[in-house]
Amino acid sequence: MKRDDRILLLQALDDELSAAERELLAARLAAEPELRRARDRLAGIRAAVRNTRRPRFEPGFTDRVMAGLAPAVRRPLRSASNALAFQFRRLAPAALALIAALLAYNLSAELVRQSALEAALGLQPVTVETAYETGAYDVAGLDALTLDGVAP
Amino acid sequence: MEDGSADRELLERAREGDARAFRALVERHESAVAAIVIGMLGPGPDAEDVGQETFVRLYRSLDRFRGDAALRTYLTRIAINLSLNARKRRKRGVERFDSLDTAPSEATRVEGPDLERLEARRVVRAALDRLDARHRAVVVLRMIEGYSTRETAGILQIPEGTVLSRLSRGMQKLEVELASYVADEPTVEDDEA
Repeated sequence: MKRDDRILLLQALDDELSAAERELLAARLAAEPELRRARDRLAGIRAAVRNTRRPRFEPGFTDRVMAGLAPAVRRPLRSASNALAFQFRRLAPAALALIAALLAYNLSAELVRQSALEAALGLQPVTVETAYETGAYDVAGLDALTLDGVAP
Repeated sequence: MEDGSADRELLERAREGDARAFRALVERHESAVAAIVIGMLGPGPDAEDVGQETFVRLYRSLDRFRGDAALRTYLTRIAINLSLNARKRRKRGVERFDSLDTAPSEATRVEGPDLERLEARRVVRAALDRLDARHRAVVVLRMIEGYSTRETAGILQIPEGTVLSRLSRGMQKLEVELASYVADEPTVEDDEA
C-alpha cells in the first residue's frame, strides 16, 4: 500500500475528508479489493489501539500532586492576604451600594440647612456661636493651660 | 470535549490561592494526562513522575495561562513535551527491560474472552512502546486521545502534513507488530518522508 493511500484511509476513518474526497475514495474502494483489505486492516489496528484507552495512575495521584506542590509553590495556597483580598472583592459591590444609599439619604435630608459636602458626609452644621453655646470648647481651661505653659 | 467554563472558574479560584480549586482541576484532568504519559512512557514510575510534573508546571504557570487554548490542550502539550524529554533521558540511560516483559508471549496467553482482551491490550501497548517517540506521540494523540490532525499539529507544533506522514508510518509499524491480531497480513512497502 502506498503511503498516500494509507493517509487517505486514515483520514477517512477519522472523518477528515471533504465530500469530494469521500466520493473519490468510495469509487476506488468499490473497484480495488486490495484497498478495501487495507482499510479493514487499518480499522482493526485503529480499534485495537483505541481499546488501550484510559490508562490510570495509581490511586491517590491527586494527593501526591498536592503534596509535591508544597516545595514548588511561590506563595502559600490561600494565604491570609489572598483570603482578605478575595473576601474584599466579594463584599465590595455591597459596600459601594450601601455608601451610595447613605450619601443619597444625607443629601436629601440635610441639603436644605447646609452645604452639599457637609450634607453628603453627614456632618452636623457647626458655627462659632453654636460651638460656644454647646460648650464644645472649654475656653477658660484652654487659656489657663496656655498661660501655664508660656508664663514663667 | 470539556466544560471550559468550569475550568475557567476553577483556574480563577486557583489563581486566588484556593488549593481546593487546584485540586479539582487535577482531578478533572488526571485521566487525560494519564492517557498521554502512560501512552508515551508505559505504566510505571516514569509516567507517575511526568504526570505529577505536568500539574506542577501548570501550577507554576497559573498567572501566565490566560485560556487562549483549552486547558486540556495546554496540559496535553506540557505532558507530551515532558514525556518526550523523559524518553530521551531513558534512551541515554539504562536500556529498558520492561519491553521484554510486555512482549507477546504464547506462554502467557490464556483462555477466556476477558483475559484474551487483556492480553490483546498488553500486546498493543507493547507495540506502541516500540514505536519511536515522534511516531508514538502522533499515534497517542490521534488514535488514543482522539485529537484531530489540526489539533495534533498545534500541540506538537509541526505541520499537518507531518502529522499525517508520521501517523501513516506509525500505523504501518503497528500493522507489522500486530499482524497476528488483525484479519489480514500487512503489505510490505513503502515510502516514508
